[in-house]
Amino acid sequence: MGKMIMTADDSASVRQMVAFTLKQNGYEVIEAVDGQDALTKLASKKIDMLLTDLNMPKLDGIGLIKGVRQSSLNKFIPIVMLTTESQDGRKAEGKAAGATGWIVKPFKPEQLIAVVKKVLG
Amino acid sequence: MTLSSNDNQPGASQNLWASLLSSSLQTLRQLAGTTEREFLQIGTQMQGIYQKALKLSDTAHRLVEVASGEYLHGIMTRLRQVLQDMEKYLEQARFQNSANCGTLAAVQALLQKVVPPLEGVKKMSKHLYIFEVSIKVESAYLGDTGSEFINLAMDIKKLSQQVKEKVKFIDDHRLKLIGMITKNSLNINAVKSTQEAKVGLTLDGTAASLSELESINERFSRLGGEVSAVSTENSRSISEIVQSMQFHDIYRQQVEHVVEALEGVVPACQADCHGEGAGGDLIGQIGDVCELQEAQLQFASSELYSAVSSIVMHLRDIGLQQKKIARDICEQTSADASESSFIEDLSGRMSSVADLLIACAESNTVMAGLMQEVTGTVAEITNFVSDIEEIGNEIVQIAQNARIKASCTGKQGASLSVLAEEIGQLSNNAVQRTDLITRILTEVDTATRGTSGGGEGGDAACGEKLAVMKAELDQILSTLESMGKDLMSLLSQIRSQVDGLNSEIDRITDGICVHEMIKAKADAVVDDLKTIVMEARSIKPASSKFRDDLRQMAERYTMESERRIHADIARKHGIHAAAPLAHAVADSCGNASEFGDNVDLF
Repeated sequence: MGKMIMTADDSASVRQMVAFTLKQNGYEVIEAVDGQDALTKLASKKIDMLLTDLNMPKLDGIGLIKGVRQSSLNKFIPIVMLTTESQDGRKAEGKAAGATGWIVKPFKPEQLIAVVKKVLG
Repeated sequence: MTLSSNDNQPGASQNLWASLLSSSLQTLRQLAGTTEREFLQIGTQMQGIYQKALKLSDTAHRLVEVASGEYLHGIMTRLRQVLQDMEKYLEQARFQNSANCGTLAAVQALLQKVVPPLEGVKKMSKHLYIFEVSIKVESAYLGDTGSEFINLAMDIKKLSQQVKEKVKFIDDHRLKLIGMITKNSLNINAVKSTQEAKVGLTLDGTAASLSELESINERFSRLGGEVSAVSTENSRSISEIVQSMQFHDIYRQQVEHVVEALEGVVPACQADCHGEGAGGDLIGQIGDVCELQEAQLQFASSELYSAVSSIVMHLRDIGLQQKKIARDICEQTSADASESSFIEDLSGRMSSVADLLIACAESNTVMAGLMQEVTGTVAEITNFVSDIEEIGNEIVQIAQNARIKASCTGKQGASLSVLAEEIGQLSNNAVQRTDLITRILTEVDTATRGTSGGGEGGDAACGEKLAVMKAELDQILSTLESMGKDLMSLLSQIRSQVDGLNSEIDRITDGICVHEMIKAKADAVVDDLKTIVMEARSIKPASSKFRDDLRQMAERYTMESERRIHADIARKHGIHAAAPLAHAVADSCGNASEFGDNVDLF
């Protein structure tokens, strides 16, 4: 059974591409439509990694990272931001919140897989 | 939409700008929120195409594997072995045929040698008859004393008849044997010539088959490389599509930023301002924002258009690549309209090899049969050799008796003594001739016994070898036929899969028009913004204040592309990137990681 990765993004087509890329490489994928949805699902689901967008309704990516880092079930999982934003300030904010990495869209599938493999060891 | 000269007053313009902006904002909000469904559909269709392309590549790989790799190597090795076995076997068969023909010729010559001594023995029979008559006549002169000679005459008569019969039997068999050898030698020579001709052709044909198989193996191994290359190319296309698909999200956010910026100038358009003082600054600001957002929107639309065009192009490319590989495969398997293939040619050649082996087996049977018949007939003749030797001995005894009886009769038996001497002489001749006949027939017997088999190890071993070769060839044929069927079946699958994939790609790509719709709507907004910019600049040209406006606006950008557009506009107005702007542009450029410019791992 492949490792479980969550993709949180308010764009369905982005979630679709992330899920397609991960599944093609043997990972299992769970989707969340925003930060709040992600936190709800993560409360009862143990996953191996989280890929999240930054700007999402209800709860943004930074809020989601903070929430996950305070949770008990998935506290130490790697979290990579997958966003269109590239400002250093925002990256620093993400890092401070507990992000493991930052990928600026558009990503190449092979880049995403390389990062996933790296952070999952 | 343009302004008329009468309306070229700040108040009238502002009203129109407000109307244009309101309509543009409505369009932009629509663009930002309604294309998700189309892109999701494209994503789903792309995944379907990818799965089909994967299946097709898998079928192509299976086909290549059938006609190359270990499978075909196995057939080639077996065929090479059969070829070697056949050459060895046929060489032996040629040698054996030649040896048998030589033996038959030697037997024929020996049988001719039997003729003179046999003629001599035949004459002996006549001589014995003469002796019989003479003894009877002489014994009649002797009266009672000659009565004992009557028995001798009777023995001689009996012996004469026996000699006559034996000689006739031997001569009849000799002639029969000569006839048999002459007739069969012709047959053997005919079979030999036919075989020689077939052997040459068939061995050449088999070598050609082997060479063809080697060539197929080489071609399909190359094709395997092409199939892998196409798979890699498809993966690259899919990678490009996945990347391009994300431009929808990027575009959406860019449009949202444009909307935010334009929403900020709507109050300025509604304010009562003129071309002087604070009012003029407001018009200048409207011009600045609209010019910048027009550029941002144009760039975003252009990027999205390129991305969707790239998706269409790469989807079509997948179809073209698959079409190409299917065409190459069809060419390599020579699968033309008549559905004949190289496998059929190979099978045909292999069949002729099998036919030759059968002919060889038949030829061997004929030769073995002939040699057995010759051996049997020679054995029959040699059975009589001892009889003839016995006759020689009996004549010697008769001559001895005749001499003894003649001496007992005194002067009256003088003529009988002469006869006895003659018989004695005859007996010496008889022994010499029968010895000669015996030697010759023994030679014949030895010659035929040495060559009665069909090759090394005899008939049984030869037949076994042939059976093994035939069975091996049958297996190779069966394997080739099975390979041919597999190839045809896979080829048919590939054709059908390629056709299905391409028609689906055509259908999907023909239906992708979201980028045209977006471009048309965005272009209309761009035109409206251009109108506002042109009018605003005609009232209030861009001023030094634009620098501050740009700096403020630059801080709102989240994307590198937005900052680049911003910097371009700034340069256009003679404003070189000052510290904050330069910093903003450089943000994401200096952090290249091992994964690429857009990836940072903390």
